[in-house]
Amino acid sequence: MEAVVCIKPVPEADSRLRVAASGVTYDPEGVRYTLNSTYDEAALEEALRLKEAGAFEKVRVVSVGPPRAEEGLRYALAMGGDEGLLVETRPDDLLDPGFTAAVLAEAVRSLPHDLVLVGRRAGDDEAGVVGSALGEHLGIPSFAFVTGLTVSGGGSPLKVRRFTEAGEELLSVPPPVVISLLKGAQDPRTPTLPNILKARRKPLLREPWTEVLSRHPGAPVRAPAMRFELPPPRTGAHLVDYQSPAEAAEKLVKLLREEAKVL
Amino acid sequence: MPISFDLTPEQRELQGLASKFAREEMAPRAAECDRTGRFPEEVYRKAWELGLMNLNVPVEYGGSGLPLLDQCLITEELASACGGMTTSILANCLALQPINLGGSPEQRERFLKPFCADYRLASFALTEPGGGSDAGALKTRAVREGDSYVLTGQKCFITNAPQASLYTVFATVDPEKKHAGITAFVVPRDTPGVSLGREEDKLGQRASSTATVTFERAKVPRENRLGEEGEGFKLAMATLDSTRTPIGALAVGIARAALDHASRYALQRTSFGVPIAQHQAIATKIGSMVQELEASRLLTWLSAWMVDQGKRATLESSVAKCFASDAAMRICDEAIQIFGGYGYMRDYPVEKLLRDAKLCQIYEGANEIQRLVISREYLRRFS
Amino acid sequence: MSPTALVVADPRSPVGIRTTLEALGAARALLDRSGGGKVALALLGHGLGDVPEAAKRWGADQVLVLDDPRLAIFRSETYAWGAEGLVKRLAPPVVVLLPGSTMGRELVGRLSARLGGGGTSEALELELEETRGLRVRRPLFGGKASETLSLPFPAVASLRPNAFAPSEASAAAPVEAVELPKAGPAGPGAELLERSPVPVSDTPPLTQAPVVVSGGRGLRGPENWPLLEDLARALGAGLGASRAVVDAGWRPAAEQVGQTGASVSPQLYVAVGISGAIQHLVGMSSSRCIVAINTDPSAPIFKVADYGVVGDALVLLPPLTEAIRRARAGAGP
Repeated sequence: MEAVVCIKPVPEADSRLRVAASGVTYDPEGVRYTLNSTYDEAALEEALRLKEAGAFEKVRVVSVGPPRAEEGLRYALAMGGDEGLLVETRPDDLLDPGFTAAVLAEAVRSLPHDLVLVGRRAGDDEAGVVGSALGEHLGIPSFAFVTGLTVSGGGSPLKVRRFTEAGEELLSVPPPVVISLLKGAQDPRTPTLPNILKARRKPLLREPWTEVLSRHPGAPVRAPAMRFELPPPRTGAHLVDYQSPAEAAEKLVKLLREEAKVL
Repeated sequence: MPISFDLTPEQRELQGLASKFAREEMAPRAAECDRTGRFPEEVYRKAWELGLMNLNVPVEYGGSGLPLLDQCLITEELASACGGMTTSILANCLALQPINLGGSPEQRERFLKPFCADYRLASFALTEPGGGSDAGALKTRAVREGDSYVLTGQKCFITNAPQASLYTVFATVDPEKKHAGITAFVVPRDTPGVSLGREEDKLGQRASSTATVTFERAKVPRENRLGEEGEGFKLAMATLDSTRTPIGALAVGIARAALDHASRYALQRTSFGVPIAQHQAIATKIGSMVQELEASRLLTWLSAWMVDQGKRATLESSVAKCFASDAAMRICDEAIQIFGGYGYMRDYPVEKLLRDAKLCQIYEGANEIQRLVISREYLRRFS
Repeated sequence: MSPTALVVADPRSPVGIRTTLEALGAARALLDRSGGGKVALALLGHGLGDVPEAAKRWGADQVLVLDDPRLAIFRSETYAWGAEGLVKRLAPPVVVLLPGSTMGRELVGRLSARLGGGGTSEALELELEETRGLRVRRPLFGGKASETLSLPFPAVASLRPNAFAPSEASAAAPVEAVELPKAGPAGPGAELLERSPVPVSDTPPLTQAPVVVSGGRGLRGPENWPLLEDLARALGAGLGASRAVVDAGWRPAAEQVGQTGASVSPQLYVAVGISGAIQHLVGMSSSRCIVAINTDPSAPIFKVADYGVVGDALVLLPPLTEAIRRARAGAGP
């Protein structure tokens, strides 16, 4: 069996974000990208451990993104991925997750894919939409919020453990299947320096997205962002007026709930 | 090769690896190790596991054989988290370089391979209590007895000495001959007659360990001699020529950390109603600090590039080391000034950077010697 | 042309029901703002029992029930297939709103791909654009930014939990049982082997916690930490501390937030009895929403906080914890 892991390089969590001149996204100037979002790294680690346990012959890594996404793929190869495929977009192409899923589906379709692993969600848009949309385009089952995965190989069903609010479920699922990991193996490996040097010699294919998408039936809908906004700068705290501690608590909770919407 | 300041994707990856290691493994322990002087063995072991040690050991012996420029990129990242730990990580490069440069294929096989197969530390033992920069006057004796040499003497300020399993030692077979008597030996730590002094309590770089090593009739087989008798001085100088540049990069890393801390602080801290970065007195300080940092980095890159091109870089490596370490001291000094009273407190990270930077002006050839070398090299062009 | 809203219910758990009510509330408010329209509630499952009976009073105009063995366990494949059938029965244009439960968040990708419209998750604000579709504002980067999307009809959005007021109980809506076509997604797809109760989770790790509650010297001693821990439990928050209290040995070093400790940027950061030295601020000022409780109104923490309460933490904490518990239980002020 062979696995495909989908990855997306995203800005570092502590990046200072600014609105781009276009107003629809952030300004990439000065933003540092993590080679893969944390969740994707966990997904890749899971795939590599399964491969090391004998479940897969090959783990391939796919990304849809601008040329700089190649660095993410190289990192994935240095972690232990066998081959990479970059479906290349232009740096200023705005990709919404639904559209990405359609392109990604055609890329994955061209590879053996008994298991397709995706991270829980990307670290930037945090949409978590790609996994099941990918399953739909590929016409195969998909499961999200997966907390554990057992693959015995040889085409036998996978054991999938997933989180639901009503309890944890253990499912038996025949491959091929798309799995979106809630959390993958803890502590993804850091590529060693020798493996970074070796990864340079692993195959990494690049294809323009227009070509990949031309294989897709029909034109998928695009819904790119119309506006990107940052919260207004802090101007000092709104101090709660109160007569009694209970009143302070009620007022604060109301603000957090209705104004800040964080409760 | 045309000049380019674009790093290759591979170089950016190596930089990324080092930066991640620095952030995740070194930085969280830096303050604690500085306070207690603890030698964070777990950090060094992890650095070894990731291939961040022994960067100069050739691929055929299991190392990564990286160009010096790549080594410098890695060094700057590491040093931005902790100068002391970086010194201990680099110490293997320094100790193994004489074997790299002067060892026979058999010696390289015998001594280098174990360092790549397992986590081990080695120390470079040149400096003596009687004199550091005047290496030609060293007093440690090596007396030929049959197929062996018997070493007697003392080496001081030896980085990683307490943890090292191997020392590359420079001793003289004939003090009369001065430089021409100096000979290099590989001395395993467990050789009878090798003993350690107490660990030094240092001003800075406290995560690295430093101690005196005493040789009392320590007997090493002739097969452990690197090169011929009398070739030791040249070997020591050739070694230092190639490891001086990374000291520049180490200073750049420390200085960068100081500048980053100071910049963030200057934007956050307000006085007279505005962030202090808007006061010209602070803004011009930062303007000067940036210049010095940029110049330091370019000088180290130039020197590393020349070494990688196989060019003679005695002048450039001395310039890089000397300028970058002096600049680092000024940058750390100004960073503390920008932090004001807070900067003087040990709870804030900048005073440690100053203490760490100070060593860069002293070790691997004090900056006074560097200036001497630079002027000698330059004046040669006119004579 | 008044649109129709379809809410796909998640009746599997209390969280599922609460988020379903929020979706119904959001659907009603959305349609009311643009001149009205019908809200339909879809109940998918097998052996739904008395769920439809209860659900008809949740605030929908119509309840559509798909009770079929193929829907016995939640699979995005079969549920999207079932929901698609319902969407086709409704008068276009259709907006599908999904609860912010795991079911809703998983279904959005599959269903929008299937319907060929637009889809997104974690909606914070919704607005109809007359002819084009649904305008959705949603958070990015852990709430440090937001984006606005325009989703063409049929639009599908799952909602961020707690972002919308739940619908109110209504008169009984008509319930209609809908038959699924015989031919559907092939094969069993998945077999349920076992189901176990939700494991009780410990407090999340500090750097990943969506909410962090930190204490400082204002708590006056380690013996008062249970008050802070109660608040953290009520919020499902990670527990942090200022350097001062770590240095004083009141709390372990692992809890320290700030320059020499952990950097956090949760959705909500509650600083209790922390004055806000720069050292601390650099480790938490990128949090989305900051609440400070401190006796000193001139404490620097109030400069970076969004909300502040000036007063004694020991007095303020118990009623605050109580109020949050009530709010979280859905019976808040």
